Amino acid sequence: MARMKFVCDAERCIECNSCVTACKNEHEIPWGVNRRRVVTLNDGVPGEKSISVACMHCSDAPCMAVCPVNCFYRTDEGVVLHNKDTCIGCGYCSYACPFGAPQFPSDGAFGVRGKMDKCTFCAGGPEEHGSEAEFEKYGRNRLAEGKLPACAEMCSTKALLAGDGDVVADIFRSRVVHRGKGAEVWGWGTAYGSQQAGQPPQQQPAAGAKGKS
Amino acid sequence: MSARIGLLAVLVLALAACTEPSQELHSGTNTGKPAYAGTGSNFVAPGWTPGDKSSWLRELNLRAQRGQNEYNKVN
Repeated sequence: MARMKFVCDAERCIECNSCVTACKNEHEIPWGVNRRRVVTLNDGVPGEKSISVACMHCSDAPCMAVCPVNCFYRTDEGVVLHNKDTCIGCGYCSYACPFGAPQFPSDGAFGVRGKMDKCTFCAGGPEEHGSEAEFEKYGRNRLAEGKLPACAEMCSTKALLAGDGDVVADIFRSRVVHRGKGAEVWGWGTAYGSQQAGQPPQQQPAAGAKGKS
Repeated sequence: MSARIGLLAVLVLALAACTEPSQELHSGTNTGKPAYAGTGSNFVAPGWTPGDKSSWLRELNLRAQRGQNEYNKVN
């Protein structure tokens, strides 16, 4: 049986945020809620790395373990979903999740925390597939339409991969075999200079040489 | 004697409301159909038969290879 997974290729992600935009547009997500976002490490420094993060649909999901009303469930495809009719918006899942996936709309009076909202792997929720109620609560159900998540299908550099874990792993493996890893990655040596990538060593100024004033 | 039994029965019935509700764990609240059942809308991707699990899986895998593995196109 397929086990749906996301993988983000940090060597390819260019922090364009098109995955974030695609997700918000596809599911008509309100202000203040981001089911997906891009995180950049060492921003502005040569060698910065970005990855797109959302619910990773854990096989042993901590949100499921801590939920006091047991609103989470896992589909046959390994997608972790939740029932908004059961959710009480307590926020325990938010503390438990290592990826910061659970989101809480705060459009009520006095900033009241609403029902939890998170990435559904574009698989909707417990309502009838393709129904208006499902779209209102959970967004579009692309998986039941025979499509993959919008974020991955819209990714401009194909950094974000989504689908059956075996297929995604095969795609990623073939990439690494073709392009190498670390400084061997295409374009890396050209941009930053690297002996490992076959670039000549950088020219050092001769000892005692003085710069022109 | 019968009055005592009657009182006891009334007490048992009255206290029955004080018992704890069931606290057993239930696994999830999914009441929906599987994803391969399709949505019945016009937005369903062509190339597979809604309700057929294997064709749905095949379509998703094909879609992943076509859309996300550009090494298939350039090599």
